[in-house]
Amino acid sequence: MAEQQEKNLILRSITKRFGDVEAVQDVTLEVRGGEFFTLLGPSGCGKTTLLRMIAGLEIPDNGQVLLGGDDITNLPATKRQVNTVFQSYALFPHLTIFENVAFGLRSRKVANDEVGKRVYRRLEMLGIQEMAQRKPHQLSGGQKQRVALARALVNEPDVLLLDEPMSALDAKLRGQVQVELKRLQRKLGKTFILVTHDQAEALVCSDRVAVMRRGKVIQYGTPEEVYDIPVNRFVAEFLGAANLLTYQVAEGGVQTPVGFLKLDRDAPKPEGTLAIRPEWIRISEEEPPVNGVRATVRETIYRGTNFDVWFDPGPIRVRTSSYKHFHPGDQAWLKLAPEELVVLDD
Amino acid sequence: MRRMHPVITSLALATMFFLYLPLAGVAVFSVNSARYGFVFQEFTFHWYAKLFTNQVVLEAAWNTLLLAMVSTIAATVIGTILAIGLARFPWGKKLETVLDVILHIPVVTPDIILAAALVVAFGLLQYVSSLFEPGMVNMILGHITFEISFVTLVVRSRLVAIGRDVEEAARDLFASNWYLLRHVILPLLLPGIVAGAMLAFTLSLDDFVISFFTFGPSSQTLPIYIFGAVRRGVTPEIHALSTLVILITVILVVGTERLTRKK
Repeated sequence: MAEQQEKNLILRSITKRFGDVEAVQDVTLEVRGGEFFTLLGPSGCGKTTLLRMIAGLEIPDNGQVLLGGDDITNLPATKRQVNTVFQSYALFPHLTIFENVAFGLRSRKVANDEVGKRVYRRLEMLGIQEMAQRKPHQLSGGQKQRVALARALVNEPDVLLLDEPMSALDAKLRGQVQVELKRLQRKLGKTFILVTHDQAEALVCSDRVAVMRRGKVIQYGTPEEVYDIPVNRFVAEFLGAANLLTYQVAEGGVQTPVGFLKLDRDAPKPEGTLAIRPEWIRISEEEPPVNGVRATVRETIYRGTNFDVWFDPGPIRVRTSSYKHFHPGDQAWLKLAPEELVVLDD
Repeated sequence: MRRMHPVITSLALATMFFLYLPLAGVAVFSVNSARYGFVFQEFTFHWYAKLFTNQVVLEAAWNTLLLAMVSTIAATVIGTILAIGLARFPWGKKLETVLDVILHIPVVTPDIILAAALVVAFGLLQYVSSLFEPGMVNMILGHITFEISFVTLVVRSRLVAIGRDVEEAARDLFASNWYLLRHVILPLLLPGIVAGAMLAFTLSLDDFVISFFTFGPSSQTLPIYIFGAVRRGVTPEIHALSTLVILITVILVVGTERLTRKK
């Protein structure tokens, strides 16, 4: 892998205001060279604004953008070794696919035969070389997206920015493209920064994820870290499903609406919230030795690969792939293992 | 398509009929060999031929074309620059509304008001230079004045349709301002620019009021000639001339329509 040669991107205390609205508030992040980094958050959380400041399409009001140690905060987009795949793809409708991809090379006056070589190499890599002489309106959504990727990658950017590139694709294609994108990034060893509101996409693609909300980064880490140990309710609920239980500290554990539970560490506050993922809860016939909750089935929802079973008290949602069918009124023991219970900050 | 009610269809056809009847009449009488009266005698191109030997008409035709071409080129260039400036410069909400109103005023102002204003303005400018004596220069300036708004409106709507995405993509791909203008904006804008120019050309060709208030002894245009000639009595030559003007206008309007509709 070429990771060592790739440059780190550092965002230092970035703030951006639009009128009275602080779109991005004091964001500090470090994206390592060669990693697939994702900015994840609901719409309006400032993730696209942050991406545009890395691209040079917006200038921050405060803070610095450093690429490979150089301050590029005020450098215009035209002077940055950073290219973008836009949400709308923004292909040039009057140019052929070849000329679309060649655009960045031509505007920098790269020699003609060199342009041809590099463009075709990228078109072949993305499997769209047959499209070279077509116009964008003759292409499907998936093909347009490949063209947009090729058009950015042909310039050998230090950082490739992807602004919700899958939002125009249908669900099936999206899943396929996520995996392809991840493979492409591994193969090239380049820094990719993806903006998305789709948590599944973030988990599939990223080496590290930053979860954003209202202009701030709430948590960042590997997909496993943010999924397994969410810091607060927002992260717990935004990434996947979570059962949230309020607690009060009691002797040897905590008291919750579903009963007394032991934790694998001391709760930091006298009262707060616990989270546990539905797929981490075990259902059993016998009472488990620790943290067993006697529960009654409220309803069952079939989801294809698994069932979501809602239990009282709580309600507690349990995701199970068991073939055993649960019917409303059935009784079972639930095991909320101490090591699976996450104590949230809020 | 849904089928129209027969009453609506016949009403529409009747409207079309009454709208185009006078024009059709003019065209019919332009190829009628009878000089007077409303009886069709014989098909002839005699009046057209006569037209092309009439020095006064030919000179007026040349003046009309010169006026239309020069004013259109100038108005198109200025109007396009204005449209880009209006659509892309960060004016702010309030100022943008004001500019929008200013842009629309010349479109809705009656020609006669603009013409009168031009007479006053040129009257003052005559003290500065004799260039502003009534004549071709004044006519060209007058036509540019009312054409700019039309060009700007057409080009700006095209610019809005293109959107900013492609411009940002071009910047992201290292395009300088000039490269962006030359390779992205102008090619995408071209249908709008041509449509605007054709509209301006048509308006100039047909204009009577502003030309009438600003023309000089040697810069008579076809509309002014026709106006003068009709006062002496309508002749088949006038019919022939009118038919030609209508024909050119129709061609230009259809061309404009095609260009603006094309994606």
